[in-house]
Amino acid sequence: MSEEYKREHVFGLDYGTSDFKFGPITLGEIPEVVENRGYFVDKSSLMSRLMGVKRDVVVGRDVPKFLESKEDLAERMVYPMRNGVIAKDDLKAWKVIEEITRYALESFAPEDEEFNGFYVVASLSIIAPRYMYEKLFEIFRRINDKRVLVKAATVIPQPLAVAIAQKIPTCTVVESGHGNTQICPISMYPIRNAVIALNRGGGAANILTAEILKDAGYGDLAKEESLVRRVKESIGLIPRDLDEAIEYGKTHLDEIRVSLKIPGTRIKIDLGDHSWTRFLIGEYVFNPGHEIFQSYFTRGMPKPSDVKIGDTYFYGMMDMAESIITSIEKCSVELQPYLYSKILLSGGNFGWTVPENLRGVAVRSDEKLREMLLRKGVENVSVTITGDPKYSVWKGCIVYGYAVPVDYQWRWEKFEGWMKIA
Amino acid sequence: MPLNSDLRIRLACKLKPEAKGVSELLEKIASYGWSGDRSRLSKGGLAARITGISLDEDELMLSVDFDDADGLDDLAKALGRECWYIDVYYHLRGELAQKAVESLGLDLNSKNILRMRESGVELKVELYPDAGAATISYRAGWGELNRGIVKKVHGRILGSGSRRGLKKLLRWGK
Repeated sequence: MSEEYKREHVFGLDYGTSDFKFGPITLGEIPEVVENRGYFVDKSSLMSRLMGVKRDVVVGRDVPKFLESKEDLAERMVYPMRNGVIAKDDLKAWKVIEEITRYALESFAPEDEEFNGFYVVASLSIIAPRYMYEKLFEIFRRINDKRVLVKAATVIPQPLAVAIAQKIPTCTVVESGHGNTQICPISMYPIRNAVIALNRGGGAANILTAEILKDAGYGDLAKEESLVRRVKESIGLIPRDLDEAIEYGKTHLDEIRVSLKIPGTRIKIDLGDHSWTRFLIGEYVFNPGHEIFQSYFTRGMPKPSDVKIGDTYFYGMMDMAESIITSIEKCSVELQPYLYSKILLSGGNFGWTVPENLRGVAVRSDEKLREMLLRKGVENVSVTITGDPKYSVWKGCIVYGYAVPVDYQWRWEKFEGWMKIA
Repeated sequence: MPLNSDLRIRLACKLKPEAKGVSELLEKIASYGWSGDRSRLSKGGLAARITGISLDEDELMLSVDFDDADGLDDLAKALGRECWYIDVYYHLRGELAQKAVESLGLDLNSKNILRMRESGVELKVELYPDAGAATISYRAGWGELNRGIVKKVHGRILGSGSRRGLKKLLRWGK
């Protein structure tokens, strides 16, 4: 199989904690995105039999058509990558991964007779253990049973994909998605024993947003996760300094107040005198340890907890600057200045915007982190948000697949190269 | 700045067998006014990002940050003098994909790969109805580039006066 064929058929798969980004090189720079989830249909029900539902698990855009009651939802909906790691024996989660992978590849597999499978580059969390790599390769082989969709495959850690997309060999990647945050120093390869994982991502800010909505009298809306996420994305702000921003918000209500209308509904959200709480949403992502959040914890909002998954500790409450410092300080002293001088922020959790009239009080993610690191005494810091942070892992998969020659075979000792699948 | 989310133009340049890698190519195209490094090229107000280089440095991939037909022609010719051939890709989405595909007499609603002759080159049209996307590509050597193939195909896909046409299409999409 020629190098030329490979370069036309590179296919990226980014298994995010909430969203699954996928597509071939020929899609350009924007992948397809569906939620990384699967719904297990009750096939024993009379209606399923009457309607001829044959699938065990539904993934992709069809999921909403099969949803039953809210009670069933909790039991039947599986988000396999919630923590970035799937237990070896979690059969349901692996089934979802298999189906969503098949869905992605079938969506773009050409009917062309020249097509002989994609060169698939999959990306997993940096903390994914070896068995997850093995399971993925098994899945690719099973998918080929009906029709060859995967010619060869490789798996790379998400932070490395970000560094590849940016073409920066020495850097610190902070990849923050819905469920968790990975801090990974890279010096040609990821420095695995310096990786720090946080048990919080965009989902934690959603939980706080739900509490803010409840306090403002929208308790009924706070139960709808997708609506809460939309509110967070529309009104959430990152403060440069939380105390100063709150003070500003309370004294400049007209500037801070926002009214959000949900299209296609009669719902209109206005936080009124509590509009300063918009700053809490962004702050919580970076520093949930601020004393102001105690009142929410006291009233029952779950605190991001320290958990151990596999061999990895996920810290719940460590502030983001502290976690970057802890990670970089695990590397050699000689390397540390280079790691501070290229901190790359990637993932949907860094895509916050700043309204023009609040510039200075509210800041972007990179400005916030730079400020936090400076306050902790770290100088000569450069923090950059990758372009299209939500898609940078997928882009890195495509660039990697494009660059690695077809005859570079997979090596378990290095976790790199192409594993021949078909 | 990237064009917009509905249009990306990408060039994949295959270096000549005797070429000595990407650095040499960059030195050579500087004489045509395109200067830069291994991540970016620019000339006046036009810029392109080098998004990929093959490990053996026999091919590089660029993403063009403008849709000006003359500028694209100029860049392709600068590269084409030093390359074996160039593959030009138009990645289109939404309304823009629909219109471009229709202008070629095709239907975006069927997943397919089609090949057709256009202005003396073979156009490959890849249709992705699930994503509402299409990729139109062709290969050009120095002969085709010298005949002005870039501007001809560009006009065919995006309409003549592409920026005006593009803006019009994007307005329809809103």
